[in-house]
Amino acid sequence: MRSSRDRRSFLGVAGRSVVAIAVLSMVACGGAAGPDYRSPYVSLAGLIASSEIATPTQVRVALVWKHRDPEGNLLRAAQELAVSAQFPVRFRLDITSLPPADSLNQRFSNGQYDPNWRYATGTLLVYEDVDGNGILDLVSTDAETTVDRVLGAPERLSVFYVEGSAVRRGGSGAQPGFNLRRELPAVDPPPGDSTCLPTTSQEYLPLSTEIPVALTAAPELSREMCAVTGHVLPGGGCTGPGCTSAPAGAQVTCNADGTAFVSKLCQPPRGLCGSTSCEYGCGRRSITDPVPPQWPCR
Amino acid sequence: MGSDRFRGTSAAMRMSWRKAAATACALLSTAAGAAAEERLAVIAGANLGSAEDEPLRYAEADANRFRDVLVELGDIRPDRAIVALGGSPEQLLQALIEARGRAAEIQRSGRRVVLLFYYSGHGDEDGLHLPRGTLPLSELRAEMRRIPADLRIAFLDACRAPGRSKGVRRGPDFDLAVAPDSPRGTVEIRASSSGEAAQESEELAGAVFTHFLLSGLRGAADADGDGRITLAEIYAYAYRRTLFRSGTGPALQHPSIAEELAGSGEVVITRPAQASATLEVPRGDERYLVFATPSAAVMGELTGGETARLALPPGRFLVARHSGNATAVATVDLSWGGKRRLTEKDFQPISREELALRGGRIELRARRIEPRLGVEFGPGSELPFAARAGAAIALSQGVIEWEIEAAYLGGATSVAGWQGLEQAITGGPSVGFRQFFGRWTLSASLGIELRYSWQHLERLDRLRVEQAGFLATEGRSFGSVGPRGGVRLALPLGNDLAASLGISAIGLFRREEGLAGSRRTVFRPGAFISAAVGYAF
Repeated sequence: MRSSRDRRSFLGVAGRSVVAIAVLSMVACGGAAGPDYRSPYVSLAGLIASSEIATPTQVRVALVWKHRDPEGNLLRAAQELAVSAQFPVRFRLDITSLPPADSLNQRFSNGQYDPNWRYATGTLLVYEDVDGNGILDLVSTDAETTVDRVLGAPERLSVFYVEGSAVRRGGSGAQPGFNLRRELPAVDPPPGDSTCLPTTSQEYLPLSTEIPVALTAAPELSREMCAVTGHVLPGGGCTGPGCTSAPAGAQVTCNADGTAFVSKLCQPPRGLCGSTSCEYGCGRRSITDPVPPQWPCR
Repeated sequence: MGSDRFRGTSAAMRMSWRKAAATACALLSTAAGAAAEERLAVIAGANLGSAEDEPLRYAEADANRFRDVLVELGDIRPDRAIVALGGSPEQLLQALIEARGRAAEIQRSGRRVVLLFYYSGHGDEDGLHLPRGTLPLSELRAEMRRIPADLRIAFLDACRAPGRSKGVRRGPDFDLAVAPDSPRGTVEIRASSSGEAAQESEELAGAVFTHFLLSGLRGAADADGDGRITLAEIYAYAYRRTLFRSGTGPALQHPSIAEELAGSGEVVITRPAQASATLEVPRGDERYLVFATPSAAVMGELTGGETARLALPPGRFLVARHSGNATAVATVDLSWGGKRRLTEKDFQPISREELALRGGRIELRARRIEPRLGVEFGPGSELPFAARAGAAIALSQGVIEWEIEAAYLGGATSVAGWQGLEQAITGGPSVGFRQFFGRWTLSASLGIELRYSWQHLERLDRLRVEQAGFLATEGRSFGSVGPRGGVRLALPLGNDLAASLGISAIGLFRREEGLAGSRRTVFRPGAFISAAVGYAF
């Protein structure tokens, strides 16, 4: 029968096609980038170093980028990170997006800002998402309370991001993209220092470095949720030959022969989002000069 | 004819068909000027008769076919064709009582009433054998007389056992031809003469007499070619063809007529000229059987030597030609009506064995190629919309259809932080089940969808990403597989072409990558709509 032959032939072709395509499908490696696909630029490893609190259920991690505006205010923008817990205290953080463009700063070089070398500095915050909205709620400058609760932040570790056509790979400094940076403690200026400014320094760590986080829920951590913090640049004290006294209450450090000093007067922050400011003063005299009446080093 | 069934046996009472035809012809006159006419029909059929009767196969189907012809061509509104299948004598009488009420209503409005009665089933000289009893013919005739109709025409396709006479008086011959009024009275046409059996035929899928009655009413009996089938024409045709056909079998069957008529004018039963579809066959000595497809119901028979035109309802048909020992078939698509004249080149030879085995179920163009164009939706996936273009090849076997489809799929994709293009080669085999609704064909199918996809992704902020030292593009490929089911509605565009619109649901299992290379198997549902034009070959 012609129809039976047709049917057998058709089924034969169809059967072989099915097998061929099925085999092709099965041997194909790779997976689809589905709607949940997140390809991280960088994955960071974290460690809960210690915990002084009962761990809440709604714990999230945010990367808070800081940007300084022309007036010197510190603006913050929060970026949520995907966290994969690795029992019992280790976790992995995936950074799947670049810092917001308005969080970028331009490098100040040779007396001008370079738009081709942009950077952003971010702080990792482990927080309790109290209102359960899935994001870290930043608060305004005049806020007296916060929405969420910061449980901990790595001490002196930040995420440093660099981009731009002038950025070059190589060397020991910041590399294009994301970097892990340790902020070394600021060093007060030595007595008689001409700049009279504290010295800061950083070192870059491998991205695989485990980031320790202590969960303390300390109140001062709440400051990291302020969207804007006022001018906090150090300095402002007297310097030069006319600087012969230290403000009352300032911490004074003198050199060995008492001919130079540095004073440091810090003002505690006012309110939740008030700024902390320290005023440095640096005085110097010749050893042959008479000691000024209010010279702090005797 | 070995498989023909007999609707009874009886002794002889025979009426010359020539005389009957002549009598009917004598009644010819025009209906012009007569009062407006309304028609009623009571159509009965019963496969089962009395306990002694061998069950029939086609009696009820014949009744339905007769009803269809009257509605198509006989000026009978569907709601005025009362059908009573199987049942008891009381049920049949009830149908006649209903007709009586309707006839009275029509008559009160001043219109002329014509009643047509048809019965197909077992019977004898005295009555109709119904499953729950016998209805005496005298009672049937009495009930018909109570119906206030001007003209009553009865077709009885049943056997006639020995017994008393029919009780219907024969009307005058030619003297009524000059009467001034439209014909009034009673006509009774029976499938056989007294003592003869009425036969069923496997080949014709119906009673022999009814087969030729219906063929004649569809136009085969139109001897004068005026597009109308008169009582005289239909009787003459049915008599001749039934007698000829039964002559090739074990027993002769002579249809008979009895009438009591007065008046003048033609008694027009059907008007094939008003049919929306007409089939013509080449003139010659060949015999043509017309089957509806895919039901394989016999629609009628033509002999090229006679009137070679048959009125049909819109639809698709298979025409089987018998010429000596040679057989051939042709397919005709009259889904949109119109007239189709078959020629020699339309026919393809086919073996007698296959024709005998499959009859009207032969599919000459069982294969189809169908380019398709559509849109696929993937709600919740990275590819919410995509264009789908491809082709399917299909093989039909009655209501079952085997199909394999291959298509290209392409569309814009986006996931968090990425956008790009996703393309795929997709398709697979399926099996469908076809249903036919007039000129529409609805097929429901189940199959497997196999897909191999390529994704080309680009980071949303490409310049920044590159200036940060990262790759901004990514290519992926993956396979997926899952079930597919759908429906497709097709409409013929001619003998070889058909347009269709389909909607399918698919569910694909595939491996998806989540965060940092983690993979899992997910199920992604989707749907696609496609339009197509298919070519049958």
